[in-house]
Amino acid sequence: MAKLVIAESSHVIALGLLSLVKTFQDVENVRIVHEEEECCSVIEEFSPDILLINTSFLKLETMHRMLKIKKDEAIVVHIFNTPLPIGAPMEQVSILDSKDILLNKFDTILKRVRNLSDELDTEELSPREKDILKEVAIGLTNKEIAEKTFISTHTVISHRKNITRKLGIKTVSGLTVYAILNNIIQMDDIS
Amino acid sequence: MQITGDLKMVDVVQHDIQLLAVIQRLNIPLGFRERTVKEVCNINNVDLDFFLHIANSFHDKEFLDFKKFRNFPVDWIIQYLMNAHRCYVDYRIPEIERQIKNFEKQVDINEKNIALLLDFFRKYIREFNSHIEQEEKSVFPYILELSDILKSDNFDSPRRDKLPSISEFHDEHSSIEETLFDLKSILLKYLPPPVTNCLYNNLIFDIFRLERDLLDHAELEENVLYPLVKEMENELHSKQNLR
Repeated sequence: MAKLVIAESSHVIALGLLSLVKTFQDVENVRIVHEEEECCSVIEEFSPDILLINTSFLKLETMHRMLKIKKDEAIVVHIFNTPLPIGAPMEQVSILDSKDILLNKFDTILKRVRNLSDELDTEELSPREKDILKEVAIGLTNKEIAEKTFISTHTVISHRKNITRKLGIKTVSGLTVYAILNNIIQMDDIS
Repeated sequence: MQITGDLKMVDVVQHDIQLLAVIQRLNIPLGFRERTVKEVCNINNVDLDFFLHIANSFHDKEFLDFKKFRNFPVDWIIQYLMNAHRCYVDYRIPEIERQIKNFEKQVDINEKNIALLLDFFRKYIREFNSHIEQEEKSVFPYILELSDILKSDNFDSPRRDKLPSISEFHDEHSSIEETLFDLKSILLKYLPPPVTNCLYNNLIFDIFRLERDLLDHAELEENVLYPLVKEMENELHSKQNLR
């Protein structure tokens, strides 16, 4: 699933792009930014996977700042107000492009985002993560887990982040339910 | 679509059925006949402008902006939020709990799972109720007092005992949202459906709906009410300094 920001001062063009990208299943959430000043804060808070930015929209310094705060793997696509040569790369779209060309380009971009996230998502928990999950589920704090398993608190936290990402469960009580359902711990283990 | 006073109320609701919740929380009864939004508001003593602002914010997130709510007495917003609380506590949450309990009767193989789920949900209800209680017993009264003080000429600071800062409230909202999110994940991803699919789906629908509703609710608190309170606090502060 991809999150997208459209940074475009023209209301009509922004809405046009929005209706186009919404036809893709992979697009989870879209934000439109009309003001240059809002651009960086929105990107920081929303952390999009794809940024659609009109080349006439941002000053050079804002562009630099934005490139710094975006996610490393996020793809930047430039929107041009002028026609582009045939065979222009997928990261460049023109407001004059036909629907087919635009759909093609977005399709390629979204495929790339999908590949990136596939690499990140190995769904199964590693044996190590299962061990940590067990301790979390019976109610130990990060510090207690670190002491018990001879790793740093920092490592415990990073394991927990990965567990949450893989399972889609954020709270301790949720993790406990998961652990019992999957026989990682028994009902009697929790007091 | 922007909702305006001269539209027919029935058309507005048919256009966006979610607005039924808003109408109910403003104590407007159904049976609109051919009346316009303006007429329905007049009959029921609801301020037309206030209705339009709440309904439009609900209908279109782009519209939501606390500055537009400056002109309304803050107790209207609080009354609206409290009516929403009643709806969650008296009806929506008990209904979900009843459905989970029903599963208990229908299966025994998965009994352990259902017990687990009920436990988890009860914990959520406790968390949720204590959040609402705190809002109604300390946050809302504080805000009302603040607004009374600003209206009077006596700028003493309101009693602020046991009141957490607004930012702590924000944290609490997100923890309540996370628990509901987890419940959904567990139901969708990890729990083998224990009963007829139709019943099970119904439960999941209800949880999704509750989650969406609570998000809207939290948004009104965090993006309208709290910024307004911060402005009120600043105003009081500067008036106190002037003296």
